[in-house]
Amino acid sequence: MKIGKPILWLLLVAIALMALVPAGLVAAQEDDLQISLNVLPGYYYQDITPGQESTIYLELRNVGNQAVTDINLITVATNNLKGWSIGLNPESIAYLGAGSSQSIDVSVTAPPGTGRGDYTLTIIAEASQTRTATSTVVNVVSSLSVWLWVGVGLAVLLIAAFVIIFLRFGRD
Amino acid sequence: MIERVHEHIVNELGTNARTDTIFVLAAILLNLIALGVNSAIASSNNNGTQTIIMFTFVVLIVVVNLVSEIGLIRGRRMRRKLLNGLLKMYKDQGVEGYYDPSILGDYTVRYNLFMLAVLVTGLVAIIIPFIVR
Repeated sequence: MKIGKPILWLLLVAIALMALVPAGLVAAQEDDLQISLNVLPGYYYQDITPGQESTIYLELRNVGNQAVTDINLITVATNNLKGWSIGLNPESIAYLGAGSSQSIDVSVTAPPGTGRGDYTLTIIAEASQTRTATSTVVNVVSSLSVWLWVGVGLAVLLIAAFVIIFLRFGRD
Repeated sequence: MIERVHEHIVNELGTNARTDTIFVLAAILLNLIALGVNSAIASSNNNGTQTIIMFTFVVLIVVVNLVSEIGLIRGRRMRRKLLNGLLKMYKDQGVEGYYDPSILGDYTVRYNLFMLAVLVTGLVAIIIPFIVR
């Protein structure tokens, strides 16, 4: 199949124009609505003790070139966080200008008796135009919980049973 | 005939010693295994199933320790009876001077120490996982 000369020239000119125009020039003309939510350094994988409040600090940043309004912050309720108290301060942001940022305090309290281990906490920042999410891991460390007393109680029972058997059957 | 009886008593003493050794070793070994398993369970993320497994092992520890204690008490009593018979036999034969009766007391102390060792390993196997948890 033969391509006519005028069409070939038109194609060449179009390719040359595309190569000459910087890519950023096209992008800069678009509205960029983007926010980012990050856990501040030092607050990822934080140790928490059941029954005691701990605070994790996040930073919400407008990384776009347009202001973002009415941002709501929510936490994702998962099964393994049943009974946990998670508070966000602030819970919503009315206006976040381009390039500006806002710190978010997340107060976390695990209920007493929570088993030790890693728990994932997900926070979502949601505006009508855009949304973002971040996750952090909190490490529940053991406290002198009810389980210790259960162990001590069982040990006392074992000692008592030993002594009773010794006195009952131990006579020669 | 007296030689046959003597032989029988000595055989019974040997069997008794082996049975008591099995009681002590089995109890301590099971305590240590339960300690390892329960500690591993306690240090992982906890849920209902793991708690049930943990308590099942605790029940196993308690039962094994109590059975072992009863076994050792019975073994001690049996050994005392056998040795008393042996002593009487030696007395009748006029050779009691070769066997010191204080050995009976030493055996009692030794059995009590075995029971204490079993009890302590049992206590460790119960408490440590609950501290780890």
